[in-house]
Amino acid sequence: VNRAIPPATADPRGYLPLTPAEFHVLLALAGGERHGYAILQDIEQRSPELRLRTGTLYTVLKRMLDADWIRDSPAPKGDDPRRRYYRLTSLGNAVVKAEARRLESLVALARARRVLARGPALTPEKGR
Amino acid sequence: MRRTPAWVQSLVLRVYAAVLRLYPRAFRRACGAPMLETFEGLCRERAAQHGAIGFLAACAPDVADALGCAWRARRPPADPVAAASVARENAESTVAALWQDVGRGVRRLRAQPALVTFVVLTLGFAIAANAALFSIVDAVLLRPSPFTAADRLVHVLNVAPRGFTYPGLNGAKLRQWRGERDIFDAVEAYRATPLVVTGDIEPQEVQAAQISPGLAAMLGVPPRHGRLFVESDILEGQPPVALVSERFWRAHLGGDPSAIGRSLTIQGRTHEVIGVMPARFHFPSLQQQIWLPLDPTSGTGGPSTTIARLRAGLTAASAQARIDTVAARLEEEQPIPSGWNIRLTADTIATPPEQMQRAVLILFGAVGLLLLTACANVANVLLSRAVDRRREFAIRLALGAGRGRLARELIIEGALLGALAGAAGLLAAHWSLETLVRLAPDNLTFVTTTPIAVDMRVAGFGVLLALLTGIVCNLPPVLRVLRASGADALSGRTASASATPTHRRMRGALVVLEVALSVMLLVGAALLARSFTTLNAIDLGFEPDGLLAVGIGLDTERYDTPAGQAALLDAVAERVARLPGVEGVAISSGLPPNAGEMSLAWLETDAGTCGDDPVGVVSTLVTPAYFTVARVRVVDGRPLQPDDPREAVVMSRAVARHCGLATIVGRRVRLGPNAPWLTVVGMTADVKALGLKTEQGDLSVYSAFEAGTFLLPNLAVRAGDTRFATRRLIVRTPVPEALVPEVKRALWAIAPDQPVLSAGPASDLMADTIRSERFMLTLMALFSAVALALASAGIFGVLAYAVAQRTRELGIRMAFGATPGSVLGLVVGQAMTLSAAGIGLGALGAFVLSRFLAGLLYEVDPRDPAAFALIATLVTAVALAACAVPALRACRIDPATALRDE
Repeated sequence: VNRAIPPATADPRGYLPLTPAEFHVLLALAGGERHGYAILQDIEQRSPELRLRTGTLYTVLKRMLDADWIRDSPAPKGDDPRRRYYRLTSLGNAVVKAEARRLESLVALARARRVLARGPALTPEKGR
Repeated sequence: MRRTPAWVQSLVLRVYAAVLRLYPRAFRRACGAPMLETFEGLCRERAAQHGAIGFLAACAPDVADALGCAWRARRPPADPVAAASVARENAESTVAALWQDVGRGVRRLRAQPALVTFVVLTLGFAIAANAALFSIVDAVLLRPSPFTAADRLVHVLNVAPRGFTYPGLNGAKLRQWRGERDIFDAVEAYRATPLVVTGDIEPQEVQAAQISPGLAAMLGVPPRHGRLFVESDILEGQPPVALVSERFWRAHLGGDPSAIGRSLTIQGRTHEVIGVMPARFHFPSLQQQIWLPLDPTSGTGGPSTTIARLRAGLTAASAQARIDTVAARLEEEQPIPSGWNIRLTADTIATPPEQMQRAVLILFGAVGLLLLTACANVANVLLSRAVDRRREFAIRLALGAGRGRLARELIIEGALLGALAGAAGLLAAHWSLETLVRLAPDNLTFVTTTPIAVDMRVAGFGVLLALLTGIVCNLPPVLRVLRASGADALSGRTASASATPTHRRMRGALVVLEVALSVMLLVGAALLARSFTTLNAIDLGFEPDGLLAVGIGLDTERYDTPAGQAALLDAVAERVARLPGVEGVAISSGLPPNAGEMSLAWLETDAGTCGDDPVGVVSTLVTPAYFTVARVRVVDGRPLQPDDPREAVVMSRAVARHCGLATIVGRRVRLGPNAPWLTVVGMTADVKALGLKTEQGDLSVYSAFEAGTFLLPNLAVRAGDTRFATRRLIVRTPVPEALVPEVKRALWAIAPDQPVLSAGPASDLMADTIRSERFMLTLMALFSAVALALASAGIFGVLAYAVAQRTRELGIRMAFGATPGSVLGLVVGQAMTLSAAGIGLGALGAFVLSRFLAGLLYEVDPRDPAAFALIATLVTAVALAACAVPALRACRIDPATALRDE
């Protein structure tokens, strides 16, 4: 969690690999602008195994704000004034895409090496 | 659905908000509010789902996570290089990192041997003192008594009809109370006595005790070899038997189990050794080496001391209540002249005497204060070192080293210093403890189970203390590092940056603390010293200085008539008198503080009885020369003369006082209704016959040898077991010590195998009676002197540093016309401020603490203004001396040089 984002590069691939927390937060924001609590809920629903805590979340958010992957977004009127909404910047968008591609290529590699079966992702083997 | 109470929610939120404050300010500004808001959202959700316990369990990881993130956010990786180092730091296992720090600490300490030497000496001494005193506290107060159910072992006092109490029950009473099984498990008796051992081993006097057959069993101590006494051992006509101590067995019987059955010549009679007692059988004190059986009911051989074990479940108080009931019943049923009542001592023998507990605890407190003083001093020195290292810390902080890391290094350094000092201290304690115990009063070692020594417990205590003090001493520098800002230290010029006001205040406060602590110790020492000098100034009634006392065990079988004994002793005296340097020789049965046995007397003169209660009278047999040789002042009448009738005696003035007479000279006196009448020919000043502190020996009677045993029945040879009568050869000479071999040679020239029981200056014997006072005073004086030295070193250090710091300022002052005198005043003023604050604080502390000393002081008020004033003056003088060098250096500052230097 405690990592420094490498100095800005023209190519977003220079930032890779992302930490799981970073990737999940960016994914959550890829679905539209959200506030911190909403990000937590989104991740909790999609990947309960990650168990992202508030402290870590904001450590990641602060780092991405500083690196200009995300920005504050105006809050809707009437909302809690302390609440902050975040949205992806174009750089953030590029970074999450680059990470997704990197993972995709890794998965492809795993399939080629027959670590994974071809075709759609395996469903968890339940109830056997 | 259960819900978490609102107050639990708000509590958790508050904790979380507090944790948020640990984040760096920049982080809080950007994310603080939304973070708290998000957490609130989580809390609301969880509060709706869980009860209080579940809620707390769910929130705890969040708090922990935030704490961890705050910690990491505080050391942000500033650049890739630092990031790499942070990553490396994280990767290291904690233990490995610790070892690395220890290694670094060792290297750093090796680079500054002067500092290490100073700290090891200062802390080492304090730790040695603490470890040594702890070993005494441990042995005397903490360890359980070596005896079974020691909390039910009490001494039993006899109560005379009018309430007068004295130790030891007579035969009938002892038998009666032994039968009261509802009160006592056992009632036994003992009597400590020196015995002369001759025969195969070198003739010597050993400390011994007669004990009733059941005593060792009552105390629950089985023999190491052989058997204990049995009832038949005290029957008439049985062969004499003896138990020996383990020490005696090893020293004289070869430490061989087959020694059982061997014979020893004790008091000229052959005794069979039937058993060896283990080392823990210190009864009644550590010194006893031989035990003989005692028939507690026979009443022969002088008074014995009665000791009993109460029935399980009884305390001394509840047992006393039962005793009073039983005694009242006995009084009605079968009255006896001595009365049936007895009194139990309030303290069981498991509790050391209150006086001793107090003395030990006070000394322990004193070494605690000494340790604090040493800590303050070392902290002061380490603080100035930390200032010198400020730049190093600043650079490391700027390069990304964590403050925690630096603090950890300092703490490890402190612990290392502490460990070194502790090792030195424990070694010193180990070596010095033997001396300490030798100085210690006998009663200190009375109740100890084990010899006082540096054992595992003491070592553990010492190690713990050493590590703790090492770390505590390094605390001020650590706090500074944690607070220091790297930028400040780097930007400022090092010289002026080092003397921040906080730093100066901290060092000033430490010096004030040192002065205050040493004032407290010094006041204690001063009070004890005054008490000690008061004791020493007591009029003894005779002059022990320049007096040699040689104890002779007179063989009463070989010299079996008084005339024969007198002839022998006169011959010896005559020969000794011819030795060079001898001014006078006398012979007596005793010399203060062992002038003789105290016996109970119902004093009566031809003018009437002197009070109804019996009093203790000390009887001494003397040759007429005794009064001039010992310089016992005869204030009325005359000393004894060679041709006096045998009923002529000399008595002390206390006897006249007791009988309400101006003088006792010319009176006829007897010591009891059945005792013969004596004629008093002279009256002496009061003689401290039994030691300095006690007035018990003030009533004394002196008679001639030829008459003594007849007139004073208590001096009769003890039944059966005494072949050697103790006689003292008293020699007036300016060189008592040097004369000992000559006197022995003179004695042996006349009587070749006379055992010499003791030989030494009489003043030493007298001084021995205030051994515990001397012990306390010696230790307190030592501790307070060291504390004062430390405090003055502290004052010197702070002022020397301050003068060095202010060279430029003082130079400017002088350039503008300040005289050397005013500069001197400046520095001296600073020293006086520090010492005055310390003296004030210390006097206050001493005022509060000195009342604990009250019970140990002899005719000195614990708030004695003279002692306080003396110490205030002394400390001020020492402070002045300590600041002399820095102050002189300050007024020699050359303005031109000072200004150029900066």
